Amino acid sequence: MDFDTWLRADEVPSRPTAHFRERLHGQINGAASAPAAIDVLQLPRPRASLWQRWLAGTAAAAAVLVIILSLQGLLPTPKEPTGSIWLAAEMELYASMLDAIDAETLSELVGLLDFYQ
Amino acid sequence: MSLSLALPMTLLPQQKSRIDVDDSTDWMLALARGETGAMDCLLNRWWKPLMSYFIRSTHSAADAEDLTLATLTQLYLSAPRYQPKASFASYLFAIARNVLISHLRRQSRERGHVLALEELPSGQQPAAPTCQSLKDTQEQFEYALQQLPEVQRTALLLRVQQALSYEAIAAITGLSVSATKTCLHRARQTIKAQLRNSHE
Repeated sequence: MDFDTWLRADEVPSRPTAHFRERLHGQINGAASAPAAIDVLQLPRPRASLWQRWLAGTAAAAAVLVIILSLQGLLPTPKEPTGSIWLAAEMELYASMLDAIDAETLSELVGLLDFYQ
Repeated sequence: MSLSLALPMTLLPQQKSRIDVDDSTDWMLALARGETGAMDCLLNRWWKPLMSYFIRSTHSAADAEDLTLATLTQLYLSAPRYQPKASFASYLFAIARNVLISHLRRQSRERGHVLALEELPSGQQPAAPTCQSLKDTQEQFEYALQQLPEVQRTALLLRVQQALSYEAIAAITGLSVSATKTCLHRARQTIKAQLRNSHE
């Protein structure tokens, strides 16, 4: 007898004994008496429906956005200059020209100043 | 859901010339639908393969019967979630192997050992063959088989005893197909070495 033949050969009867059937019967009936508990332990948790998952995802994204925006608000932001450097230079130039210009040109300059301000 | 010991007339095994894996899948699906009589068909079909696997794995008929019982109970409880993705034999022997590993770990804990999966011994260690018993070939085979790591022993039993494909064995053991072939080769090498040592 070689090893493979020995592995395949055994003295197990082809059908289970009545005693084994009774044991299995008892085991299964015992397990079936608490099917809910078994199912809760072994089944995967119920999955949320599609719209519930979409809603949760949107809420999470919004929450992240709010957090990012609030963090940005906490950061020191550079203040905008109250006036343009170029505007100040222009006003100086215009002021120096005021003495030399006539009333019509002056009114135009006032209009320009209003535009820049 | 309780087990009916009366076989449904449509599923009597003696009415079929050959009970194959597809029948088992159908019976399992029937069991999932609540047709409890299908459990008897599964029991009649798989009792002997399971007992043979466990007897060779544990070297104990009593343990083998307990493990077969545990496997069939697990099979019954898993019926509502059963999906026939792979062959039924793969599904059943994956349960059987898990039951066996749990049993071996429990035994190791009782003996005060904490072993990794590859270190798990068989259930009952047979005595090393003595000079007198060297003549007893079956004892040598038994001893050599029990020296294998669990995964090699299981792969060898599933291949030789249960005639499962490499793919099915890979699915059960969690190895790749090539790793399964390597595992089987190593198992055979170890068996050969053990038997050679017994003869020397």
